[in-house]
Order: sequence, then C-alpha cells, then structure tokens
Amino acid sequence: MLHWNPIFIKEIRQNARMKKTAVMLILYNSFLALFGLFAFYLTFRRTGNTLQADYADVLTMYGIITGIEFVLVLAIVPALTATSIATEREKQTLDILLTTKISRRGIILGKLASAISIMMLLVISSLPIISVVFSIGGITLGDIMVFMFLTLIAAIFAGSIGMIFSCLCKKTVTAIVASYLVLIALVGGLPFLFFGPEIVAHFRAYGNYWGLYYGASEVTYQSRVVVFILNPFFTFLAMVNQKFLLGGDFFAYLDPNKRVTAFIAEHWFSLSITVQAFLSACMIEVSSRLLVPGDKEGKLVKKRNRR
Amino acid sequence: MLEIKGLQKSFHGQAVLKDLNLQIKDGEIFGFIGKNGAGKTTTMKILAGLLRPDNGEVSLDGIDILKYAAKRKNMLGYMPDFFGIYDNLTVQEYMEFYASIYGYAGNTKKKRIAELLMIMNLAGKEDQYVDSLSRGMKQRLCLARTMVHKPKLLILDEPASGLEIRERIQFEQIVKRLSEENVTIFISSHNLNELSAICTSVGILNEGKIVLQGSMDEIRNRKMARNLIRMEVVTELEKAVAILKAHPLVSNIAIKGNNISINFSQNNLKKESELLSSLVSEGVGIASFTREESTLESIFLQVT
Repeated sequence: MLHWNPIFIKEIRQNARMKKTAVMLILYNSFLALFGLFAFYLTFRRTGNTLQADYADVLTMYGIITGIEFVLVLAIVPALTATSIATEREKQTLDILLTTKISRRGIILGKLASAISIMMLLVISSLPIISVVFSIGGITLGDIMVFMFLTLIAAIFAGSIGMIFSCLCKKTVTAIVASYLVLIALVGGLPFLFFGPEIVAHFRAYGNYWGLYYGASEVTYQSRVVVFILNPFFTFLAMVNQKFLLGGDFFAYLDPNKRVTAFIAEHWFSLSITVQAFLSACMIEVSSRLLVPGDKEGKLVKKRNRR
Repeated sequence: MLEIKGLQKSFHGQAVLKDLNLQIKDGEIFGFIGKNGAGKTTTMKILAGLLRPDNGEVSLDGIDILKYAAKRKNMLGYMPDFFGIYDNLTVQEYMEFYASIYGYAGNTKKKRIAELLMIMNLAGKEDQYVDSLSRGMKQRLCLARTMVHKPKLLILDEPASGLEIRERIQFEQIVKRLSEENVTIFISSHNLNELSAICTSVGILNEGKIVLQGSMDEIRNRKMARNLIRMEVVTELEKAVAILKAHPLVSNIAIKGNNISINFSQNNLKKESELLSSLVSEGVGIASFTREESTLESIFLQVT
C-alpha cells in the first residue's frame, strides 16, 4: 500500500537527492565500524596472535555492535519524523496538501514510512559490519533477522513519537526537542521514575549498584517491572540477554523474586514488541487527528470535515 | 453554480465576515475585491476547507462543500498566495506527485501532465528543477497543479502578485482560456486593473460584507451616476475651489497641483456644461475639463 502512497514516493525522491542522506550514511557506518573494530580488538586482545577467541566474547561483541546500532536508530528516527510535518508547515505546503484528496492518515503514513525507510537503509548498509561476527561463528542469519525486526519496530515506535510532536509543534526545533525529551524520559527516565528510591536506598546501603543486577540486595522490583515493556531498549536487552550473552532468565536481573507473572516473563520479547507496535498505531492515529492546517482555527475545520 | 449564503466568521470575537452572500455562475471569472483585512483570504480558506465558518452555507452545483470534504476536494482547486513548492523535485516529478494524489497512474498520468504543461506554456521544462524556475513559471506550475484533477472551481488568492508584466499577461491569458472550458474561477487581487481585464463579474467586500456585486458592465453602469470629472486650472485656482465647494452636485474635491478631481453626482451633460460655464464666467482659466470613465478602481474607492 505504501508503495502507492504519493507522499512516500516524493519523500524518497527528495531524500535520495539530499546531501544530508549521504553524509548520514557515511557517518553512521563509520561510527559503527569504529566501534566494531574496537570490539574486535577487545575480543582478540586476550588471545594475542593465536586468533583463538572465547565464544562468549564473540557474542559480547555482537551485543555491543547491535546495541550501538539500536541506540543510533532510537537517536536518529525521531529527528527524521519530528521535522517532517513541521517542515511542511514552515514551507506552507501543508495547507495545500490538506486541500487535496490525500487523507491525513495517508500523509502521516507516507512521512513515517519514508523516515523508516531511511533508517532501514542505514541498518541494511551496516550489515557487513555486523556480519564480521559471522567470521567467527555463533550468530545465525535468524538472529540477524530478529534484530532487524526489533529495530524496525523500535524505529516505528520512536518515529511515531516524533510524528506526534511534528503535528503538535509549529516549529521544527520545538518538535525535535520535545520528541527527544519524551524518548529520553521513556528509555532512560522511566526506570529511575519507578525504581529510583530503591536504587538510591541500595546505593546508600552497599555503596555500589552491582547488587541491583544480581538480585543480591533487598531491592525487589516486583510487578512494576512490567512498565519496562514500553521501553524499546529493554526489549533489545531482553533479546540480547536471552539469546546471546547469558542464555539465562532476563528477569533474574530485573525481578529476582519473580513477582512478574510467568506468562509475561516468558513472552517478554514478543509482548513488548506487540505493545510497542500497538502504541505506534495509536500514535499514528493521534497524529493524523492532530494534523490540521497552519491556522489556529484548523481544529474546527477538522471537526466539521469529519461529520 | 457557487452559492455562498450568510457566511460568518470571527477571530477572537472580532467579526471578519458578516453575513457574506454570493452567487457565481459556471464558467465565470469572478474578481473578489477588498481592502487588506476585508476577509478575502478568510473566505477563500473557508471555501478550500482550511477554515470552518461560524455560520453559513457554501454549495457548489447544489452540493454542500463544507459538509462533504471528499466531494469538495474533487471539485475544487486551491492556489494560495504563496507557491508551496518542494525542493529537489523536477517539474515532471512535482506534477506526478499531485497527479498520483488524485489517482492518476501510468500513461493517463503522463498524458494529463503533458496536457497541463502545454496549456501553461511549460512544455519542455519537465526535467528542470522546480526551485530553478522563474517566478512566473512557478506560478503557472502551481496553477497546473491545481488543475490536475479537472476541478469545477478554481480559487486563486492573489495569483499575479509579484509577476512582471509579460508573465502577468501570460497568466491572464491562461486564466481566460481555463474559463472557456467552463471552469469557474474565483480570483482575488490587489491589482484592480488586472482584475477588470480578465473578470466577467466582481464582488466588492467591505468590512465583511459584499457591498457591490454583478457583471463588469452592470457595475460600471450602476456607478456611472457618480461621475468623476478632472480639470486642469491655469488661473484662479482658489476661486475655482470655492465655486466647486459651493456647488450642490459636487463632492469629494481632490486637488493635486493645478489639477482638480471632483465627483459630479449627476450623469447630466447639461449640468456639467453649466458648471464649466460658471467657472469660466468667474474668470477661472481652465485648460482641460474631462469626464473620466468609471473604472473598477474608482468604483472600489467609491464604495469602500
């Protein structure tokens, strides 16, 4: 369907001709390659010239590279979507679009899809760097596909946040800042919001944070840990922890007393992806309802048109 | 037919449109005239669906276009008072974008675009980037964009502003050609001479209401009753002004150097010649005494 979305086609055309896209592609892959090389160096440093690597180290290397890639995705997508509608507003092309036959949802989906496609272009172009670990083994094509899928969902989720603010804010800068604040609060702030007192208490008692991760303290996250289901980075951690690094129970770290129901714990990855995909759909719908002409009275127009 | 009934709109409690009523026949080029802030753009935005009126109805061929957005979008093309173009797109791609929005695809799309570019004198510019076009070309491209879906009503807000004379004439010729294809054109402009050259009917908006509406000829005839007379006085200017001020049929005396303009409130040649005789008999030297034809500009000044 998106293939036929005129906004998507137009955006792809425009983006492909922008120097910004080429520069972003180079910087993204250079940054990732640097980290990849560093991780490679760390893996083989211990074994010296024998080139014998510890199997677990290779998996760690994969975790580091994909982790950095995932953070980059979360950092770039909101900037792409937050500017999309606000730019149309600034260039005064939004009013023209709204008088044409394309639906508001069509505009939002086209814009979001083009931002996601740039992101996926970056991710796909970085596959050679990720595939370095293939040279040692331990990672299957299926694992890479799971990671790509996870990245896609996270990109849509973060992109939808940017899209809402792009519709709400008249200026591009305001939209970008607001999107990042919400994303930072969601990824970084949420854990501290919910578990801050326990973490501080633990630190005061033990002088470090380590016990938090090994369940060796009195800190019990209890069922509140479910709130992390909204956090894309925790979905990534769940995938990495369960599949690659430790092979153990992800909740052993978050919920040592196993207060979370077994069903949620067992299906954390798929549940969090489903929840985030659902929230993304809701945010897309909200964005299309917020998409009104540049005029203050626009909201009224929309109500009238919906009759 | 476009019919506007009792249209009202206020912003922050201040009424911009107060009971606006209009009727425009199919294929007309309707000039919408008004001072800055009179409510022209507000009216156009309401017609385009970008603003909601507080009250009133707008119907096009009997269809309530305020209520049925989808029908309105198919029947109406809107060109605001800015270009609204995209960077990094060629003329062909720009047109393809809008044609795709209206469901054109494949050869039909190419054919329609070629046809429009031909009408707009843009054939041969297909591969040129939109942002490299001249102002006039951009304006014609925007008009082509609004025409892509063959709308019944075209709303053009200040379409010729900033165009040089040659581009303006070209633009006017295109607008006339479009009206011959039974497209109703609703056009606003500050340039009243330009409007009088192309419009078949006009409506003058003042303080949110239509104060005068009709075909160009109707309006000219209706306003002929208040003649504008210009005279060049070579001697006894002060005496001439005193006589004019005392005359019961003279109003709006404007003096610029030796030239005096007056409104003579009767279209009566005998009365005019009596005025001239009285001036001459009082020793006022008059080099010229001419009755000006009523222009859209003079009519506009009279009624607003």
